[in-house]
Amino acid sequence: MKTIKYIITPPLALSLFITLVLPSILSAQQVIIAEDLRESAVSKDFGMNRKHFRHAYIGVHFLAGQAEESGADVRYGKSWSFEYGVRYKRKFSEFYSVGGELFTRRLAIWPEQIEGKMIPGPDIYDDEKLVYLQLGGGLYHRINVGERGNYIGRFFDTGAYAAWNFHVRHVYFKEQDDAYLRVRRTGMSFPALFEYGVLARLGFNNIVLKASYRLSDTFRSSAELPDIPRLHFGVEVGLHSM
Amino acid sequence: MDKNGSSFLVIFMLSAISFMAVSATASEKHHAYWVVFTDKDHVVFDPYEYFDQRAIDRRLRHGICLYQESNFPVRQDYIDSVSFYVYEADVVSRWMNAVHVYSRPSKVHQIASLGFVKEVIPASVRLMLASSPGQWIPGFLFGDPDTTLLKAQLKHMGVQRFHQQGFNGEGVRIALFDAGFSGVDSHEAFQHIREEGRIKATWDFHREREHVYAYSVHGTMVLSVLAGKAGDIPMGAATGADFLLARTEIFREPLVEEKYWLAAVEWADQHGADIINSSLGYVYHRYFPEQMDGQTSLVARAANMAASKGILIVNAAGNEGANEQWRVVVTPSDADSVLTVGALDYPSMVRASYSSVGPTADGRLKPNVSALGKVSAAGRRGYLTTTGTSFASPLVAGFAACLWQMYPTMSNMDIFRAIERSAHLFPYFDYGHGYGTPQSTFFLLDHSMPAAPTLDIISDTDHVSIVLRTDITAENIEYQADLTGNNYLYYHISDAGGQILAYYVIKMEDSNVIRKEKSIFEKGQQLLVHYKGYTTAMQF
Repeated sequence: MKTIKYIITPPLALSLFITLVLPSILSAQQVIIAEDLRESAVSKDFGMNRKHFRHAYIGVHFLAGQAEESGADVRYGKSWSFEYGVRYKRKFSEFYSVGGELFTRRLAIWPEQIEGKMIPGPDIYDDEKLVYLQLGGGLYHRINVGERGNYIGRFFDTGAYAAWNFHVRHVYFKEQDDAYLRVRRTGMSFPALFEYGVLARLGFNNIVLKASYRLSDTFRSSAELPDIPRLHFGVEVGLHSM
Repeated sequence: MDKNGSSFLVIFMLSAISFMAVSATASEKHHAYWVVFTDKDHVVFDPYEYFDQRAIDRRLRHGICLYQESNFPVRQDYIDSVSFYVYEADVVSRWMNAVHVYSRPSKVHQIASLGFVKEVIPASVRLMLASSPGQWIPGFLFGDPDTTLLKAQLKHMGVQRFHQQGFNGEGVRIALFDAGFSGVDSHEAFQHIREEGRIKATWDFHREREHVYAYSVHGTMVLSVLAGKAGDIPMGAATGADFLLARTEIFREPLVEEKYWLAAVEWADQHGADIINSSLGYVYHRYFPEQMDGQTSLVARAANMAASKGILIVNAAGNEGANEQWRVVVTPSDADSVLTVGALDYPSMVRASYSSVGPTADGRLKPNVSALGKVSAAGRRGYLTTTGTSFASPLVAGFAACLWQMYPTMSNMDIFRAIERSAHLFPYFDYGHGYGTPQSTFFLLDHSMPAAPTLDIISDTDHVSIVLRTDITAENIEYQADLTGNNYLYYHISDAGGQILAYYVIKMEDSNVIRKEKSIFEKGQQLLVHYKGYTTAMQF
């Protein structure tokens, strides 16, 4: 005891108290459930079939339809976009809502490597792609069908969108001198700065079929390039509970 | 606009018009409705012809009239008249005095204007089984039972004490409503039930035939937790009861109707069910949380009517507790005469996060009681561990069967209240656990002495302190012995009207004091505290 008395000086005792004793006091009561109904009430304003609703979504869309002119053919199936966004809905009645969305999208266009090709240039490579990275937004109005509870149900959207092409790159692949080259270009003058168009969506709760039509051109008019197909078809998944 | 643009616009407009047309056409076709009639005048009813002898016995035992108008048949001439306007009329509900029809919406006005039609109610809803959300059970995962969990699922209510005294639900008839009972006709866990011929009736309300031993394993798991045996080990309390198995729910169809539930509850009544266990509920596809008031949904009203005929309805609270847009109990668990069962986590023995909470939209306490939501159950083959309020419900239904065997003259609502009173927290309650977990010791041991105090609530100028006593008597400990060794303290704060504003569960480890600033309490509020079998309150 005597030895201990001399070893445990006041500063050391304080340290021991803070490191050993205090944590055990603090953990002496463990809150297993704390439910305050004044704070955790279910909102009557926000929900799938409430006045306001907001949810994230992802979607993939494929280019479809004919190019406007020859020389702008793309590889279908491989030319597609991936989109991630947040969608907001304001309900006005059981059958009618309007809303908006903000999204980011990566669009990959794979030109066909055939004689007469013109986009983005006449050179033919083993493979080639244009990648547009976009930030955009849209507005839509929605017609819902069928009686339902707090549930999205079936709907039909029509609307318009616009996006800023904040980054475009041109990548091509070719074999040269027994080497396989992957060339990546940025800062080209031919990409259009913005894209805009109209859209339609058919929704079954989480699953949404989408078609859009681009009204703007993919390339600047000064580039004098034929435009790629303007139609997109795809599917989106709403990231919300069923 | 170029040619493609024009094409798109044409396609776009056509799509919109098609959608409208399809929607309008869909609206015009086969929407489900209940057509409710005004009266049952001049119908003929013979209870001895309509009811199973067990149903008559139950009515006589509980002093319920054999000639309740709700059991009279629906007037056939009314059904025939309505059939003229609809595509199909299928299920007839005596209790609702209604017929379920598929009709064009444009015809509804005509039907509603018929002199003998009281109202026309849309009927399509989507069902949620009250097992784990999104649970998928692969066939190859079945194995041996988890014996530790098996023992826990009975021991936490003291069911082994019931069994030791010879109470196993014998003579009590339990109906199960579920999505299918695949394997019940072959699995070893139900061998004792099959051999003794205790499955008294089965009916598939969708296919209208007796075979129910297919489609889904959900009902199989529920029945095993109610009455199965893994070898010699009971899996549920009611190993000696009789059963009625009803397939009421159709998994593959995105929308099914409450009609099967309504038809099944009348079928169960007709066949003499004493208890109905329903491990399912109806939620957001048709309803909003604020409609969970025990009055809005048809199934809630039907459940209350079943209770008025002497049947004890035990229903899972639902698995929407973690769904921020729902949270509350599902229907028919919102009905005031339904014994609603929440789920406890294992081994913590507090509310499982998925278990739906109360109160109902009109402020009533739900769930009523709670039991383990994680269980070892029989699958299609072998055994598996599964979770959900689906399995808490049959544990309590089995408990009720044992109790009814013990006190056969008690009415269904007497059993209901006795189960609440026996629960380990009673008279304390909260919206997560109800009154807690029913305890067989309440009925089997002498509890005439009030619980000895285990805590004091001390108020000074600025603080309110909950101080645990150190001299807790063995009586209270024994009362708690079946539950856990967890050192939980429960307390809630309620307003002057008795509505809980906040509730807490605290694990008391080394500390024996909880201090709260007095300023958080308003005048008229009450602090109710429970610790080891003793409940006390302080009024502000």
